[in-house]
Amino acid sequence: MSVEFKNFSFTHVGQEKPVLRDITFKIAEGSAVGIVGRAGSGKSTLLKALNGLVPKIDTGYQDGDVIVDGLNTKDHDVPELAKHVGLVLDNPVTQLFCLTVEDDIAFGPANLSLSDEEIMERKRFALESTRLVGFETRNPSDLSGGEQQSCAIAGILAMGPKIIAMDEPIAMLDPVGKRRVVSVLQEVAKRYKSTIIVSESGADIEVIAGYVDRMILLHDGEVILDAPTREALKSDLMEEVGRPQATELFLRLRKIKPGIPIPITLEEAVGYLRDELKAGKMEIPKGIPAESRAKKVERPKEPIIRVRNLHHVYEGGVRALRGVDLNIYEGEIVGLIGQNGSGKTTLSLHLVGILRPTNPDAEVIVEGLNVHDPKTPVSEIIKHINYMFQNPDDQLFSEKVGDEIAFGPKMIGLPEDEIKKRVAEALKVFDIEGHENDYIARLPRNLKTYVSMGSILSLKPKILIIDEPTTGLDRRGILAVMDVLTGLHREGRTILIITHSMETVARYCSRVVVMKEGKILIDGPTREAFSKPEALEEAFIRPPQITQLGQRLMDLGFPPDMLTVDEMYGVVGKNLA
Amino acid sequence: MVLFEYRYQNTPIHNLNPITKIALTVTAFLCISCWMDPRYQLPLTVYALALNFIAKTPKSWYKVYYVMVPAIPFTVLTGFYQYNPELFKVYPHEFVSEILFKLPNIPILGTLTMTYGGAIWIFSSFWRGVMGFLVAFTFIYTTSMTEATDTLARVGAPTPIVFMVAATYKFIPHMLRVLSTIVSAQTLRGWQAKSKNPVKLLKTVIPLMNPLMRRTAQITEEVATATQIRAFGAGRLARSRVYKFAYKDYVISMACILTCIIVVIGLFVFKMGLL
Repeated sequence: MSVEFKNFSFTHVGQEKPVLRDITFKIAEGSAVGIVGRAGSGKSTLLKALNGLVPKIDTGYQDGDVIVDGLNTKDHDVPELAKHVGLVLDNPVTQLFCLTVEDDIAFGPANLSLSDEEIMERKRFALESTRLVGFETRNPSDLSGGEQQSCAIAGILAMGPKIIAMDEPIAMLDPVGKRRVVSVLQEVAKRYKSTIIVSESGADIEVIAGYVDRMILLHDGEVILDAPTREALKSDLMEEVGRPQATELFLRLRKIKPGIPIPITLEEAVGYLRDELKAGKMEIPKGIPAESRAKKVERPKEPIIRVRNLHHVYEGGVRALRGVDLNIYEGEIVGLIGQNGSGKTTLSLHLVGILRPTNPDAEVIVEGLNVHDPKTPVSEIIKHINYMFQNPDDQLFSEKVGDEIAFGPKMIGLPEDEIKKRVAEALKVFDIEGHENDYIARLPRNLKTYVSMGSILSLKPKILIIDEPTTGLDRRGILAVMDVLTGLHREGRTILIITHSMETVARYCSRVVVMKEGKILIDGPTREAFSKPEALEEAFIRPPQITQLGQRLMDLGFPPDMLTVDEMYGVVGKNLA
Repeated sequence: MVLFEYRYQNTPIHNLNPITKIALTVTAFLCISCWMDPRYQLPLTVYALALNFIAKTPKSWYKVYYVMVPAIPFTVLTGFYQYNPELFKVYPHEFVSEILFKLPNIPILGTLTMTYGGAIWIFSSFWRGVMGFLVAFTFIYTTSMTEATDTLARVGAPTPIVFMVAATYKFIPHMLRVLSTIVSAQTLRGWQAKSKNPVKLLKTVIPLMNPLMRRTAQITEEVATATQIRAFGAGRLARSRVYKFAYKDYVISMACILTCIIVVIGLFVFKMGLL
């Protein structure tokens, strides 16, 4: 056995409730296992227990044993266990230690006291395996998210561990970056027969499902399901983390036609529907029912945000924006998407005046305000538009929720009564009334995201830019946050969402702006934009799985612009005999 | 571009052997420490600037000179007390004792007298800092963490020292990135650090300090975790690169050793570089 948990329990120092309880399972050598569960279910702690980080660095009380590669983790130090278990953290930036790719890859082998020749050989092998040849002298911080994660994997791979554990390895990546990491993992597992353990909280379940051959579902620190992937995805217990869209569709279709197989990958779903159509067991779909299509909304004549010829060159010569032209209209909810490093955040920071154009003829006008003018103070800009950063920890500083939300209104000099009113309103929007005296440090990630959004909302900007609102949240958390944003949109706010979650864009955004290398590549209604897979591919984007399913069956009459499982169900369900 | 972060460039200094880079840096710091006389500091400044220029050190790094501003009042005040000519070993006592100006009846301090000697002392003390930063910039920009740690391990430095160097290399640029994000996040909520009252100014910094401290703790933990999972400390640190010691490295290193010997002998025997 490669890994064995024997009645393992773990409680953090200072806490009464164990994070993990009575965990018992075995993982065979060379297998790929997914540890799935909602945020806070104990997945990261479980992975950290594999190389002794729990309880040796992340201190606490352990009961039971963890045996990895024949070693009991109780009896060995973390650096010793690191030779057997390579752990890749969820955010590669925290893991990349050195200042060039090749140095970072060699860091682990150098710590293992290997010979010069052996280190060179391992470095070469890791670079090749992760397709990083040519990147040797690049600074890891200059790489795209997918490349950074590949570099983190290469660093672990060069140490030659038999077991590779990855904590939500694709959570922060663009769709093509996700695919790249998974294909690297597949290649590594195939070539070196490594045992791969991947944790996942649900947002990327469709990417993971196609790769792992077994899933272990954690709930509140306990294993509640341990089954082969296909069986696990059929279980009702999986509803809390979600399923791939194709699986979800077929589970619903099964109610109409019992006995149909349940696919776990896009390819399987395509294969089944193709066979059904060819065998005449299914009629060729006529298109998306008219009621599913959003009604065309008349745009105001004047945009609320007007950007013209915007360039930005960072010191050091990195050209982040190359002549961006963009109009955003009042009341729109726009998804701003693109590969890591495509310029989304740089563009957004120009809209709020944190960054200013580096070309004098650029124009950034927000509600008639010249944001591109360095003389326009940020304090004035934020009355019209604001930006919520990806990590709430960068923003939150007060001890209590109420004080945090009141900070912005206080800063712009509002009277006490108005501040109280705005705090109450923000608490109501996020359904956290009564929590104003809660300590922020003790809040879970989703509530911290709410407080962070509330603290911006209390400034009452007409336009909100939200950077990756769903990062770090599980599927349920994502739905809750997006519900709040939809509510704000209904109230009349214009919302710009920066995200890597194509499902979120498909479901909530009426318009998509796709960026690539500092330019806008596609700008149009979501349905229209997602129906151009070739153009999206150019920007390293892939539409949601369900849209891809329609596109793969276009030759048989499927519409290429279905955005949700409901739409696909509406098309397929009534045609399935 | 982040302050204090190595970046690979194809410059003559980047391409030197790390031992040569250390030799260049140590020599420069030895000269800076030993030479107070502006007549010696001038060529040293030219040397430090030349290193910066050749290494293509980013100009934005010069912002760091702002940290010297708080030291100015203290340096000037100390300069007022350099009126004793016996403190000067090289400059003529009559010259250094000559009074430049007086500040009478300063509360607590009494009358402060600025002599030519004091003024020269203030200038050279301050200029040492300027040169020190220039040399440090070049070293940091041209020497990667791996080069530094490999060299330390090669000279037998204990693992905790190597770890401290490695962690510093990782920690400082990372923290500067985080600080920049925190400042932007708070600015967007109306935060401004504008007050002439130092107490009020200190209070306005709280919105930065709380998240910064929280993230510092987080990042410290992350750095510790990142090193542990890469087996740091599992054994003797091997070289992760093979470094060539080229002819130019020999020449430069020998020149550095020679310079160090001349500087030390010059200082103790000929009072070279003293005021």
